[in-house]
Amino acid sequence: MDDRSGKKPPPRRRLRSGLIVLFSSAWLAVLVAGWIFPGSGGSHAGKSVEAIRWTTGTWQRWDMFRTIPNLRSYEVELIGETASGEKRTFGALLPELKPLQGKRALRNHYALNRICDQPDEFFEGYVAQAARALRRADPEVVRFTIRIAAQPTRSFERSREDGRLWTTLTSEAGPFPVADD
Amino acid sequence: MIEEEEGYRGIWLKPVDARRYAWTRVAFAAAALCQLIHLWPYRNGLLGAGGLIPEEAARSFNPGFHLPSLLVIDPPWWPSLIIGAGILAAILLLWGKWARASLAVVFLVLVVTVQRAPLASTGWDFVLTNFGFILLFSPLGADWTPRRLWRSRRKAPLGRWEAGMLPRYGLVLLQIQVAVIYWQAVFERMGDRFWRNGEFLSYYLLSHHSRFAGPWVLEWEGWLKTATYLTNLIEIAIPILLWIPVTRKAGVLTGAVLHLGIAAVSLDIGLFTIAMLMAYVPFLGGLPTEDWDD
Repeated sequence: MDDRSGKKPPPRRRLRSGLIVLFSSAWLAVLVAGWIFPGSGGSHAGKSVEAIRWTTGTWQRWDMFRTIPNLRSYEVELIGETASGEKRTFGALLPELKPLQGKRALRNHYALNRICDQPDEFFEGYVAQAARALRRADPEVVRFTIRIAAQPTRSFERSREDGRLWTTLTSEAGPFPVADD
Repeated sequence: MIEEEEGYRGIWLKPVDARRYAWTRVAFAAAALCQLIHLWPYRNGLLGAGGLIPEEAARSFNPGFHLPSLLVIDPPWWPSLIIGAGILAAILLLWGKWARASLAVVFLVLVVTVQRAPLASTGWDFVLTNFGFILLFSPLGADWTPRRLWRSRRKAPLGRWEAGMLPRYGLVLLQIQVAVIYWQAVFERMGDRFWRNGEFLSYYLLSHHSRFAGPWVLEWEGWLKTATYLTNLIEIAIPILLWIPVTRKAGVLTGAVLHLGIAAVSLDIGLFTIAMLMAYVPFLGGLPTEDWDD
């Protein structure tokens, strides 16, 4: 390509331009592939692609509000129990055992919802961390239970029958022993 | 002196006013700064060693290289140091000081946060990390501080050499990223029955996101159904409106109404609005120049 003087640009500039076109073309391919093969824990794009995406922060999974958010509220608390059977209530936020702070603390809401949703390594790790935190905060507590109070939205057909928009479901997990530090 | 390019190479190499990159840099830095300030209260719970998410689980969740493992996360002050460094770097980036290094720090802090606390991540986290990655390889217009940028809007139109010219590839990649975000989001919803039958917005307004949840939602179901379908149409249209110069202002206005509307009825996703409005800046031209086309 010629510049306005009619002369060819120097080799260094041609190399730079070539690298720009190469990088841009490669990233265009990544973006198109990201649209066709969205990241989904490796099930769509393959593990090696997912590995690159997670390492570089370029995960192409744009599924915000893919379906309805079905909870009105989600409250979690830890119910500690002493050796004498006395119950004491603690917040679920670690490490300070603070309460969940309602709807405005979105990330805590997401994290606890996803942690408590299924008994995987995140849940097991949370239980272990909570046990350590309780031991530090109140050495008299010897075991604890995780109490969850969720308010899912009811279907509109049922809501129109009785006027109740949400229902309340409570569940408990545990008891879990409190660990020594 | 920048050569004129044609054809495929011209898509990436056509010269544009350097101020477009500068405005993009400023917008990204401002959005990242908001994000990092928002993360400050969460730092111990999400990044700390005794927080909600154990490091071992986060590491095994990540199929790639786990950056947080490079960092010592046991001292209780470490999360404060990481987020604090990110905030400082975002301010420097906004001003254009040591722009590339500042951007690298901001980008790394954003990625570390996502990797360390994957269960607490949100859609706008990935808007920022994807934009940050593209900007790492793009011009940043670092010569243009926010003050100089603002003043240049009022002066007599700049000549192309006074403004500085840069190949537009970074802006083009960011624009394509915006299209991918919107179109994939709509594509992902096609299989969901609540989007198909128009009930999504009604359920959204009864959820924990909603500022105004109540029985009124059932009475307005018809209008909300229309709004649900309209949302998808708007999201398909926005990238096209932004790309075409004649409709660009309409695209910005439409997107702003959409995202500000979402923020108005929602309690907790203002940063999503900030991130998406930031994403429109790479489309914007219209800077005062002499008779050279942009």
